[in-house]
Amino acid sequence: MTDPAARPPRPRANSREIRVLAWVAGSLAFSVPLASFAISPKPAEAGGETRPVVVRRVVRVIVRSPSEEGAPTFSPPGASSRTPATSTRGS
Amino acid sequence: MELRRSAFRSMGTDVELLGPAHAAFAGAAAIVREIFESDDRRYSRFRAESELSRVNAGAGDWMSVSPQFAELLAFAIEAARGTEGRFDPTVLDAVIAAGYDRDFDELLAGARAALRPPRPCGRFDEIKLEGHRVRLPAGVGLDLGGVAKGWCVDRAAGAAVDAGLPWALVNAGGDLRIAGEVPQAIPVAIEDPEGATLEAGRVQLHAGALATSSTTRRAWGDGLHHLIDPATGAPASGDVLQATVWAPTCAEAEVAAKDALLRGPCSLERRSGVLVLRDGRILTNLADGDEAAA
Repeated sequence: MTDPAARPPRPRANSREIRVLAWVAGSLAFSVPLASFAISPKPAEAGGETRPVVVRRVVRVIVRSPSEEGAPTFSPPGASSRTPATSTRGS
Repeated sequence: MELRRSAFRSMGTDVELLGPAHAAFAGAAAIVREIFESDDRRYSRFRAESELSRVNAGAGDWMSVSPQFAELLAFAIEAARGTEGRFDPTVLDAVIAAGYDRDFDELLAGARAALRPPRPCGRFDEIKLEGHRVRLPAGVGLDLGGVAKGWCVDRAAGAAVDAGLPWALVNAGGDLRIAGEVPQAIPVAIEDPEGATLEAGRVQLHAGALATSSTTRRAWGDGLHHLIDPATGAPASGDVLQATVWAPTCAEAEVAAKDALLRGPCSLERRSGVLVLRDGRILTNLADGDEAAA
């Protein structure tokens, strides 16, 4: 066992040093979250740089040929005002 | 015209019955549902216990089949001959090779690639059908998916009218049939193959059936979809994105739509319908609905 009397006494911080340390720690705790806000990416500002928006348009051209008797009729997109009762699609 | 509607899911797709507000509607709806559930149990390739799975498992041997199965298979073989093989009930191996080896909802979740290189199909003429006995060539499997659905739609629409409805429209995932006498034409939207919320036009249907085949639906990857070109065994890649065909019955319309998708614009010389082409054009030989209404 080590003799306690042989160990040199640990230097104790005085109250001034402790106060300075507390101020430094408090300042860091306050400023770090603010810094993370400062360096995070900003949302685009209205009236600032605009990004291109690509809208894909589907252009259809109707080509008709003679119809078969008894067959249904066909209206191009947007031509018929009646609400469809049902629909057909690729299955 | 006041409509009633009953919807449910069967055969891997949405099914609906449309009909007039009538006392027989609820009973007819129950019958329609039972027909779909029964046919799904018989013709599904995703059910190990289905009659189709049993027949496929016995390829190479003579198998006994139900009268209903024999009737549909006879229709499918005749349709394959009539379309010079563009419709082919023996595409099972090719569909699986393209990656469609499980229920479509599971397929989408797994985002699969093709499993094997394609091989041409076209062995429908080697199927032996004698009464209620069938023998598939060894190594050949049946996929009756689309035509079985059309067949079922026809039976269901007829049964709804037999149950007392003056008329009925049954629609299974876009394959639809009117039975009975409708008091006025039913407006049916044709969905655009390049946008589910867009329309490629509308048909005013007063009788018969419509079926649509598209290379952009039931697709799970670049160039991977369920419509196999039997000549190559690979998913079809022609000029037609979508074919909607009118015919007296839904089973006929289903076969004709596949034929039109592979045959291209000249199919309109034989059938009435609407083709949406890859270059943006819509070709149709149906009369103009606006002129007819004027």
